[in-house]
Amino acid sequence: MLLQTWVIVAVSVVYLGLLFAVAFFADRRADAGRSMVNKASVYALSLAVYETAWGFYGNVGTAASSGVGFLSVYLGPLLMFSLGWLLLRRIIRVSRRHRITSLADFVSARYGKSAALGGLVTIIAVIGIVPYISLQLKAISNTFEVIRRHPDTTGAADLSHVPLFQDTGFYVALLLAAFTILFGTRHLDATERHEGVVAAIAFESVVKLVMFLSVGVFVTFWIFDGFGDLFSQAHGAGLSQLFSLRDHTSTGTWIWLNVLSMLAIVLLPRQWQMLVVENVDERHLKRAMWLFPLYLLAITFFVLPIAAGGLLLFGKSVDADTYVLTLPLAEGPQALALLVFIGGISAGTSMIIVETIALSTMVSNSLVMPLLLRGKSRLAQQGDLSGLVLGIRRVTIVLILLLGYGYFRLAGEGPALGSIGTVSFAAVAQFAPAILGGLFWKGGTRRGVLVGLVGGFAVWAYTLLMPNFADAGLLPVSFLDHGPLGIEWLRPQQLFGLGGMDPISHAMFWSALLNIGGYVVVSLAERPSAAEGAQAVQFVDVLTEPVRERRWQVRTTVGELRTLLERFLGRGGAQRVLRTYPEGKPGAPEAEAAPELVHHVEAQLAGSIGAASARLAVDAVAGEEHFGTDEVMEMIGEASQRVELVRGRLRLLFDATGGIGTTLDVTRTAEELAQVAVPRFADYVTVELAEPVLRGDEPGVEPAVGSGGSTTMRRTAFSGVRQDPPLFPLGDRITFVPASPPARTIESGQAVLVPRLVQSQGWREVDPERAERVLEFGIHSLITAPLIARGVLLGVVNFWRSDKPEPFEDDDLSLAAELAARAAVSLDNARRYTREHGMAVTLQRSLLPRAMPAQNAVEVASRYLPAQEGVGGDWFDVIPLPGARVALVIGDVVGHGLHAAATMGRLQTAERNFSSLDLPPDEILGHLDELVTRIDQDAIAAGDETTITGATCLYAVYDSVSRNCSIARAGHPAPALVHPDGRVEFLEVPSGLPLGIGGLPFESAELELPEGSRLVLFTDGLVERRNQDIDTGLRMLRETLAHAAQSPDQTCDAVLDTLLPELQSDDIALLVARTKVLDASHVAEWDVESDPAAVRHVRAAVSRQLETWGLEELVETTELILSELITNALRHGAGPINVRLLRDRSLICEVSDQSSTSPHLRYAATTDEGGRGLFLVAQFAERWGTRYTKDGKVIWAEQAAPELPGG
Amino acid sequence: MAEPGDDERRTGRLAALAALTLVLIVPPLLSQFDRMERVFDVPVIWVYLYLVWAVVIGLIAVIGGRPR
Repeated sequence: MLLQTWVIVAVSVVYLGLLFAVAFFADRRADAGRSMVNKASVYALSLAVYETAWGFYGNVGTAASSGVGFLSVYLGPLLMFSLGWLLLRRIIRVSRRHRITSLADFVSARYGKSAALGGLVTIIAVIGIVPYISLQLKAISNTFEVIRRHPDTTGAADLSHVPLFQDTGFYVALLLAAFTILFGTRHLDATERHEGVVAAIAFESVVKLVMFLSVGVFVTFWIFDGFGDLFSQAHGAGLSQLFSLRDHTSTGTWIWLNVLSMLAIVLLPRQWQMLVVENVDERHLKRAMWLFPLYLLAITFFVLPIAAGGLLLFGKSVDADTYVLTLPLAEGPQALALLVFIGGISAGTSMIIVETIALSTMVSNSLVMPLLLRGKSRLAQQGDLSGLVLGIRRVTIVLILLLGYGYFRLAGEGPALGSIGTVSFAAVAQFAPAILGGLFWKGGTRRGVLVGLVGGFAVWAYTLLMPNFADAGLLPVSFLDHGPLGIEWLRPQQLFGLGGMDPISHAMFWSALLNIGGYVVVSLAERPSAAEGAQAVQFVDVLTEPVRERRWQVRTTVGELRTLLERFLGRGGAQRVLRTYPEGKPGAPEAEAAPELVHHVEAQLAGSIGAASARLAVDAVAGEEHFGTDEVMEMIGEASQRVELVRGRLRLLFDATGGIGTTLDVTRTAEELAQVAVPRFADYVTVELAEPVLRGDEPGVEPAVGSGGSTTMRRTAFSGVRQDPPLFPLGDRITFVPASPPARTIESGQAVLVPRLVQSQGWREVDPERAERVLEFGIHSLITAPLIARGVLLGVVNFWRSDKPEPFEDDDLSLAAELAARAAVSLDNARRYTREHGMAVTLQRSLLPRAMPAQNAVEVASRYLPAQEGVGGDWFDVIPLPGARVALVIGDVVGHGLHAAATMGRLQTAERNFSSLDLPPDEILGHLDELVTRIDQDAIAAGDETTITGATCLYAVYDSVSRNCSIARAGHPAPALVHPDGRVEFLEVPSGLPLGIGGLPFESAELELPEGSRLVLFTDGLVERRNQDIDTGLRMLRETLAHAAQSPDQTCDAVLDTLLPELQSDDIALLVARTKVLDASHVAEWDVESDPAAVRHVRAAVSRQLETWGLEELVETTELILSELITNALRHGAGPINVRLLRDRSLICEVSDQSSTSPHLRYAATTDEGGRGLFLVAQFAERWGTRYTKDGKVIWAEQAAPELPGG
Repeated sequence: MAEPGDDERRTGRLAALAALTLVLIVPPLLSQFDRMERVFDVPVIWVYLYLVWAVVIGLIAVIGGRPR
């Protein structure tokens, strides 16, 4: 008995051993450099992994019930291969160029190297394929049972209850896991090719073809008498299903199966593995394009005859799926049956081996590794990772096989497993929009694929997988018939009530609608990102575009790259990769790696661990990828991206031009710089300025360098998307150590880019503890640019990014530098203005009286407000005059700026000097007029263009004894007088011409002011506006004064509150004086007759008066002074003589007469008789002097006196 | 390497062949041969499909294999 169990087992083991041998031999040959699989025919044969045990046995079963309907699964590949040159070649070339090693990798790489997409594709593939694997295990297990039980016929029921450890499927699964691990995961290689496996698969393809053809020939020509006989009998037996298609296969199913198989021939993971990954030479495709369809033709040729033979011989008594085996068992040599069994095993094992290799690559490269490498995990820094990758794959292989076996046990018998092949086809067909669309349409986006895939897959699971579960008894059948929870319109096979279709057409309609619809609609709704756009061009234009590697702009060393390679590929692998670097020697380990080398390494690594993982791994050592704008432009092909970018930058620069430098304030300008770039360019901006700049000083050509080469600046401005980053606060003095980016930018004068702050040691050194907090806060990238104007460094500006995930790149550098350059000019302008303005204000303030001189005649308050655009020429003065009088002056030099301030200074000095002459106001103005005229003439003579065009002035003298006020003005606004009762009048003072014009003499107005009157002097800046009539200003002033409180200070405040304009274009001076009156008891007056004896009376009266005032100690000197002055007056003067004593802050003695001759102080010679009088007066008095009045002159002398009680 | 023009022409011809194949293997043309008759005693549709298949394979080999 040939077919004893041990024989079958032995033959099977020997066969698998043979397979091992072939694979081993091929691997040895490959290692020796003599590849066996580098042949077009081997490539074509290896594609025949498409023919699984499902096809090997099941086709006959399908044919027995529905004739040639099974051929749809083989005609689709024919269609696809005739499109091979158009489609498959592109896929192969793209994959070769990008080192793509799986379907998931392809999708991920096409859409911007998205790890999420790779993971999703992997998950879909695993879910879709695992039941398909269980179908193979079932076929092997069942046929083993059939052949073992021979000659008993084996019914379907017998096959469903095989104990686990007697189950061939279980052992086959374990054996295949071993084979796959041995040959599929021998080592990690950049090309991810498995020559041993390919050779074994090609060998198996030959085996299964030969076995099937043998059975076909045996049935047709041995059992029957050729095709004619066979089909004549069949026709006679009424087996109509063999002759017609339409009765058993709907048109929809036929077409959909054609489409599905057309896609599956590429998109099944095992097909992708053989077709794309294991392809050695693109030209092999040319032969495979006809040889592979021919293979399919050959292996299916006898399906219909065998089905006819089986039906004729067995009818329904034997499962049609086993005709291939049972026909030789029943009718022929048992050896043939054994061969057929071997053919079936080879079909099943080849499928399982390749499928698990492909899936394990996908799981490890697109699912597990991206997760492990995510977030810059420590893993990326670890030592040898190749063991880890291989380990993941081995575990995956075992898991997938056990899953497949588990489903086989679970689903058991029944139609469920038989139809699972189609279900798997439908699953992988979901990848078609993403892959085929991605090859021909540049507009597809990552999100589009994500939406399409998820939608299509969900529909697939609901409309195909769930019913399959239901058929298998894993779900209640009512789920199919009445929908979940009895909701009819959710019935999986009549979704939304769409009935009248077979399940496949129905499922494909819905899933294609969602998949293609989602992909197209979402893709069209958004713009592909730069990375997606770049990859799109690489994929779509793969045939036309010359090989153009992307340039990398990353910083890493050759040594780091080598270490990275060693981690994943081992030492030998790393050496191989570096040896194959096309540009020659990569250079010394510490040398900076060329961008091409980085790209080379990533591409090679992508071959081992997938594109997304390789990107992450290289990123971990080399920093993230930067597309230079130029490259983006080249890669995208369309300029739109670039245009958008440039437009954004232009807009930013435009806004910067308008937004920076709106004022002439240094700090404000710095703040404007900080604000304009947030949030469009940076998330935070800080500006540091050298301290002299803040004061308006020249910062010096050399930067302010502190000890150890560090620089100190003050943080002046901040702007950010949030207000609380742990950066240095405003106002801090920051010392930049030499290695820090600001110090580098100061030294080089160039903007400095720090794409990753983490890596900047110099930056941390400035304040390590704060740096940590800044990093924790999320700030990750920095550009520092110098603020340089006229070659002088003013400060630095820092642009920080935190919320924007992408770091600054080289292109941002120029934008930052441009922004800084523009801002620097504005800053410098503001600085110069600050300096000039500061100088003028200082000058002016130094000229104005800081504290009012002590006097009792009036109570004064004053205000001076410089114009916003600069200082002006306003001034005022309060000058105490002898005789308890005071002079009040206010003036205005036309124009602004230093020149006006300087002229004002000269006029003020002159006015003070003139006032000491104690001249009447009109005369003083006359002198000033003369002075201004002379200044102008001098200026014109010197060729100075900026001559003053005039000045106005008002001079008032108030006598607190007589309450008399004498006022003259030269073109100045008339003063306001507020009477004690609140009545306001503008004094009628002859206007006079402005100073420097000459002409008519000035006139003084005399008036008597009641005590407590307020005299308000002001310059035109208070009442004049560009947009307002002066009368309006005066009216407002009048109203304000009428209601203002009494004190001069309060009056000043009230006036300014009301009249101060928002934009003060002219400077404003305001002087308010409230008159006081010297008490009559403090004045004593005597007329002196022209009689020397009268002097004695006066002396007596004076001494009495002094005693009354309590000034006894002054009696003697006062008598002496008065006798001298009276004697002088009697001797030299004329007319009546008058003596006056004023008890004010001091004691003032005045002697007046009607002569105008001025006494002179003389140093009398010792022999001189007279001439000692005034000398004595000067000795005793603190001050003395003469003043002229209308009626003559007054000689006065002041002596210090104790303060008046309560004065 | 073939001239780019050659390559394009070849791709075009093969794509046209694929279109022709598709027309041949789906209704309505397919339906014309989908009947219970036999030629040389074998089912018409069986002969038809394998004939189309063989011819297309031949054409692919001819178009794809020849450089010009």
